[in-house]
Amino acid sequence: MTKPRKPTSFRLEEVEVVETPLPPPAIATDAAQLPATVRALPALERGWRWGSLLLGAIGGLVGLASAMWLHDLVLEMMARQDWIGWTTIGLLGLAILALLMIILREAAGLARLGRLGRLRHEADAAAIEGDKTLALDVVSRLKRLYHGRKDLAWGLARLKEHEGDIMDAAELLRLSERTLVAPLDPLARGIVAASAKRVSVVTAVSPGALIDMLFVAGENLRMLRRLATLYGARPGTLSLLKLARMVVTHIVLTGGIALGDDVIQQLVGHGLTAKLSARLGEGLFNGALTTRIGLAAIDVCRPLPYIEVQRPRFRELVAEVAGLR
Amino acid sequence: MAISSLTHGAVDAFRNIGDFASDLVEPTIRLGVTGLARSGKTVFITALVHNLMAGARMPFFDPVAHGRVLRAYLEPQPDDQVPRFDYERHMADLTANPPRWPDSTRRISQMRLAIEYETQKFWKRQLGYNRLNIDIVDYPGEWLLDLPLLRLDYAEWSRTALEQSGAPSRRAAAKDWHAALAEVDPAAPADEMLAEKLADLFKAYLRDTRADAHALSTLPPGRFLMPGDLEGSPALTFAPLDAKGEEGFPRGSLFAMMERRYEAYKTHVVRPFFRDHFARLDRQIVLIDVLAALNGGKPAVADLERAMTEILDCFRTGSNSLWSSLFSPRIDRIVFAATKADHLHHKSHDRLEAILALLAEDAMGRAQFAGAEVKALALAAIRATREGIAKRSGEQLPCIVGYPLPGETIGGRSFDGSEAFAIFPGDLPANSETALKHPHAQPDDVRFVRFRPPDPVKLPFGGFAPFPNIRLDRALQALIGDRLT
Repeated sequence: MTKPRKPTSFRLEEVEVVETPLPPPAIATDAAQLPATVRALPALERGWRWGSLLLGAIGGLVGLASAMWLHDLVLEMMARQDWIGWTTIGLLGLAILALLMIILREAAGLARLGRLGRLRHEADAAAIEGDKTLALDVVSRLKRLYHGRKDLAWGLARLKEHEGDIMDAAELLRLSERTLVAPLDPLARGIVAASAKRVSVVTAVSPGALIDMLFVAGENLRMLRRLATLYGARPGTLSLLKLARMVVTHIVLTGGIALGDDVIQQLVGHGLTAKLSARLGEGLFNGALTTRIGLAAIDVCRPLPYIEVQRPRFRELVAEVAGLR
Repeated sequence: MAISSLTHGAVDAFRNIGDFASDLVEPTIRLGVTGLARSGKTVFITALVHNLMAGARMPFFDPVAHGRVLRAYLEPQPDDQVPRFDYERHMADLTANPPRWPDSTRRISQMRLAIEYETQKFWKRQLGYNRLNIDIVDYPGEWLLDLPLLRLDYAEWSRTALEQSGAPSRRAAAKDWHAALAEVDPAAPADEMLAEKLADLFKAYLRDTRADAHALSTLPPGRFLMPGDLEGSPALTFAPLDAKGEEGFPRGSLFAMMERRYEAYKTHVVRPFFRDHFARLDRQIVLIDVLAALNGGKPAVADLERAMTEILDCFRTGSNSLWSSLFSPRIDRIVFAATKADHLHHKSHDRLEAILALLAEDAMGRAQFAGAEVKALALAAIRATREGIAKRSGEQLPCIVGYPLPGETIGGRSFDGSEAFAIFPGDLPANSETALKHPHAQPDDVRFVRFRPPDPVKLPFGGFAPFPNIRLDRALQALIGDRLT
């Protein structure tokens, strides 16, 4: 223990007094993330990664070939007419630029998704451990994430009002949830309900199974994208796929709980409906599936854990889909 | 319950049934604000009323945070014989230029605050319940010291009073009284002049111990210090006598007269005060000025601990059943608050709360065991300081910035009240046990300075902005949040 410090006083001119600043952002490194790596098991000896080498080499060959081909193409065009050659070069430049931008955007999308995940992870930790420093950091990053969003301007302003107040970690997170995240929750539920409705109806009336499948997949991806955008991730194509993977993982991991919760009812209900009409039963089942995926996606995308707000339950959402509320 | 006798019990039961019935018509909460002298009762009540009436943002007082409170206003209080709580004068003090704290309370006063709200409960909506009255009583904290007397008879009280006056910190003040007492024979015939002289010396001794800057001086009887309307009445002309181990003094002796007056004091002063204002509480907040006790050192802390335990013994806490809420309602929610938390940087609030929890351990444990909901927090009803970090030669000290009151000193500097200072009050010990058992292990480990109230902020449309506070909303939520659903 350090030596206790004596009480003192300062004239305000004598010392530099800074109003309590926010601590520097403590960004969790990958090493600090759960679950802890178990060091006891030896890693499998891989030796040379021949597969990667093969892919890399083929990629290089294809790249070289296409470069040669493009080079030849430009020269050929040049030989034919000057202006055709220049146009080719221009188009080529545009294509490269677009490709670069796409890569950048995807990278940014992936980074945003990762940021959201880390934020959620640290918010969980701060809430559980009551870590004030971490909570302050989480909230300041959350504010940066939502900075400049018109729909959250009101919440940001409310949160700013409380900046000088004295709060512990749990209270700070509760307030942030109330002002910034809770207003988004009904919208998220609306998105899920709307998608589930569409999926149900289209499945029930569509003529072929293939069309169903395509539509259900597309609609689910669309829902994921809208949810992620709502909570601040704005995913691109790659990050949407990654998100989909995360959602599936989440469903698998929490599947046990969900089974106890309402899947049994749902199966029984589905069985009854299927007796009435096979198509209708299928529609309902697909709708329920979409709802479940939507719920998992909300869990994955929401930057803060549920503190004050009730976690939306499957049953409530089904009621919302059915237009009962 | 040991305090109320059988007849009183019956009368009280009838009154409680009456209260229960009137609660059905007009829901009312009797909120007990309990605290020794200078613990900040008046300021707490004033700030509470002002915050609710001005519609302050209270993020953790759910009814306000959810926007369900429509308005709050003062109503005429229910008891006509008790003066009204002088809210306007206290506000005038706090919003004067320069602002000052309200004077210490000299007499009892009462107030009813009505809160109109939108209920979420189906039945409340059907029955048209949309208003909650809160009755609050303000009184001199010294009077609270009398409550434990209800359990002591005269001989016991004399013995404890003499014991306490023998403590090293008090011996000097009690010198004259001890000298006079030595010559008195308690078995001698009663002599009015002698009784008066002893009572005066005893009062002078009580006043002296209280005048000591740091002592909390928890010595009863409270009316000797703050007589209220009883100034000079014979019920106040008595003093402890040294029985020297004897018992059974004859009728007409000095001892017998003193004993009779002591009993009269209990019957006519203490018991009505208790029955009218404390026996019927629904909710209670206990304000404890832990920091002043730490300032005062070990004797002050011990004093505070004993006084709070004895006083809190007198209240009925626990969850209510239908039966008990009809005949003898109990306090089912109780908040322990370490007041003046703004005298510390918020990083030390955890430690302050730990010290508070240890200090009120007995009372809290008992209330919890009886089923009451208990919460402990560090609170400042009016926050007089802001926080900052003072940087000096590479060292960083978490400070509070404010205007110290004239006469306060810290680390050899005394303040005149005209200038703002950054104050570092010292580190509270991490181990709350040490804080209580050995405050000031080294002299001047911690020193808490009192500040003048914050500058009032005038609102453009009249009135004043609610004062900044620390955790007032949490305290309110714990006290009355459940009744405003």
